[in-house]
Amino acid sequence: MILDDVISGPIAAIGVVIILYILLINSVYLVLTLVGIQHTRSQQEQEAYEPAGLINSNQFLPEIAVVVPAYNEEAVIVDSVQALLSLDYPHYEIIVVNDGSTDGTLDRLVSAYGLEQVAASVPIDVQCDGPVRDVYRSPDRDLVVIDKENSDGGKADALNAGLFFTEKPLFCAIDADSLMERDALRKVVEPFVMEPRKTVATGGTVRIANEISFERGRPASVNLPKNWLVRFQVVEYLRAFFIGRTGLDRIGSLLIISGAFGLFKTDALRAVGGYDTSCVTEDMEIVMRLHRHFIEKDKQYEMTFLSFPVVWTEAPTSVPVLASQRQRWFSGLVDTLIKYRGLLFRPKYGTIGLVALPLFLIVEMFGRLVEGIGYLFFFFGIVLGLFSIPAYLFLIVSIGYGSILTATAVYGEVLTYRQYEDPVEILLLLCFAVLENVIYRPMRALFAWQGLKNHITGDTSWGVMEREGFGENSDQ
Amino acid sequence: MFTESLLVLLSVTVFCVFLGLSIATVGIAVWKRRADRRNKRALETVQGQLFERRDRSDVDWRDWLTSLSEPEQTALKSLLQRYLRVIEGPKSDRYLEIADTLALPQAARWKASHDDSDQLTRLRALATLTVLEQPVPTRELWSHCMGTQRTREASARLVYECADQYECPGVCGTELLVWDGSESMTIYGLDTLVKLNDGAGTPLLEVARKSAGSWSDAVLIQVCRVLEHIRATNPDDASFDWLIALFEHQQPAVRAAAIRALKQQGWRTGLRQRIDVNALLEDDSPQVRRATYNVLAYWGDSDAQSLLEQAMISERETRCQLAAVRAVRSLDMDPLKNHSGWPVDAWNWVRAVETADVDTPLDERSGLS
Repeated sequence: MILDDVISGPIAAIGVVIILYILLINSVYLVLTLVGIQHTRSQQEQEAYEPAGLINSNQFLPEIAVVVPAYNEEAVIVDSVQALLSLDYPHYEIIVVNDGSTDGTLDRLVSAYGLEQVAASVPIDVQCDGPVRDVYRSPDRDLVVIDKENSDGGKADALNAGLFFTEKPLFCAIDADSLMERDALRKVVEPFVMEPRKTVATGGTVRIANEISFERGRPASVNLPKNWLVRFQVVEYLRAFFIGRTGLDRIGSLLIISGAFGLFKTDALRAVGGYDTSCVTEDMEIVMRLHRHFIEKDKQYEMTFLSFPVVWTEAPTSVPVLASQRQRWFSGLVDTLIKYRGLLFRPKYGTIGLVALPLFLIVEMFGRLVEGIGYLFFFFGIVLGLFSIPAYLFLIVSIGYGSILTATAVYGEVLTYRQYEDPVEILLLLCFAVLENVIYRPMRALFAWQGLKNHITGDTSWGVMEREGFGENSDQ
Repeated sequence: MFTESLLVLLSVTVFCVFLGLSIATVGIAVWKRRADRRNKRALETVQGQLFERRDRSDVDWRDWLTSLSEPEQTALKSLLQRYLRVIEGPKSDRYLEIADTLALPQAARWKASHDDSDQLTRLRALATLTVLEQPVPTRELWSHCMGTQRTREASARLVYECADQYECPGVCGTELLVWDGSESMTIYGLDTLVKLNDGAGTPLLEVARKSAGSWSDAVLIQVCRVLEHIRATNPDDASFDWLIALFEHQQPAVRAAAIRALKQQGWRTGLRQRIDVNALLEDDSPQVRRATYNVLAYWGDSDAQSLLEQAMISERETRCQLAAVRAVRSLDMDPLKNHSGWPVDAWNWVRAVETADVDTPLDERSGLS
């Protein structure tokens, strides 16, 4: 039987095409999720093996610069630095880049850590747009504060200041509002020890810290946040950033290492010119540039995603803040895909050109936009009574399939790291896996369209992130 | 194509799959939570009973062990593994006695050498044998535990921990770790390699002399890093020939690692004379030059000081110049500053950082240059 016979006319046929596209996207995600779960389980089993004998391996661990860009972070900066100072890693320095803050960020750091101003100009060309005003050092800790003027380059410019200032071989970018687990650096550095020449970047998992209290650099207990918007983001992070990214890594298609937690070879980042200050998603852009650089230079390289080293970050708690964040992410995605369109479908670029970029183009970019049209289409279709029963059934299948996808990610979480231990919370996550398809994903699709508009109009503003701080037992 | 009945069937299927998945997910969550609680209770019970019996002389371990439930026995095995990893000497005798009664060595030896064991089972078995200090004959190790780099590393650690029961443990362990030089080592492997080679013997140098030519770059760099951190006292200068040959390697990372590997060998005058330091100081790669400054600063004698002083002035790459200045300052040198190529900015910066690091208030600082 042909399509027109089961649905009422050509309008509904368009709806079916949209749904089929969404089903295709969810199928791609489902495959990635299954691959991700399988790999995460095997990684977890390997980690559970505890070798015998005492290990005095500190001498083999490379030095790391942990760079924290800070713009008006006076509420959290001292706590963030304190948490970073207690990381379980033998050789690292913390570089806070005060990016022209107009609040008391710098004063708080100077008084909290007795910082001393270095009375000489930096002898290196610190390649950032906003000039460096001063450098401060702690006399008794490996802590440096670079005080620079704010520029249009935003976070990327602040990261560049740290990147070109440091002399450490590895560079770790972390957000001021994120909390790194104490042993995260030890885990994320392992690929650099194993493959010192080839490894250029590693990334860890980012999880949501809202309403979680911390003790000794680890979450004391992980409870599902009460805020419904954050709960949607929890299931999204589980699906996309925990399991999904592991899947992408397994098929050699890792295009993003989160700006909240990534470790890079410093020389490699400098070789590609540092972060792009014109791009609002500098984390994806820099990974793309590294791929292009190493492929064009015909050099062997590796980028790895590890599901265990964890950084906890605050998720937006209100719709306007979430909208601003997601619009920026989408605008940056479009920007990066356009910038690297020359790599698309080019065999020379291997998996990146033939699989990863097309996947991001079809699934992440067009997928989100088509999803948006779909939701709008069905909303009006239902309101105006344009559809017959089969079209509704199609919609149900689509929503159900999306729910299966997210439920699979929740299943993966229960099978592997079980950050959420309480079965009641797991049940709640499953409920949100369904609700996500009718509430959260339409919102996200709308933000994608707004992001596209921002990209076209050249709006690169970051918006304002409201900080609520970590739980009251926080030891940061 | 899409009949209404087919769509209904699809909808029901999707619903059933979601429901099944959800039930399985919640079911596993409940089961794991109950297992966690049960294991925690078992651990607390066993720990209490073990501490209570540990120092008594009249305990019949077999009776006690048979009185334990299965979760309690599992908890006891994990407790023994944990304690035996940190307790050594006579204090560990009691725990070894319990392990024997539980037949842990036999079970571990069987798992380590059984063909059907997977990698993880074999690794755990080798770890157990290591903490129990129960050697496995070299022949068995070779025939069953060479499958992966990690099992070779676990075998090498067993050889190291039971060194007195193996013939040539240094050579045996080193060969296990380096193997054919194609797979790089984990931190655990590197740590074991240091332990097997630190001090007089350093069989690694002999192994490298024979085989370094076929090793991957990653393994070469790792081996150099190990040599950088060990005291290789006995071997003669000729043992380092392969390392000097690496100065011609096409990869800068390998050349830099090679010079760093000689850091501890500055006292060998004959060897020093064979190293063309000037060529290293003129290497195209900043990485190699920086490594050389670091090594010269470590050697720190008058020859090294003189080379560093020259390099500080002739170096044109800013970061390398900074490294050279730091190296000079680490030796407390204060060279004449009237040279035409004097690195004013780098020198001032390093001095200013030194001043800030000793916690001097800003208004009391003077004469930085």
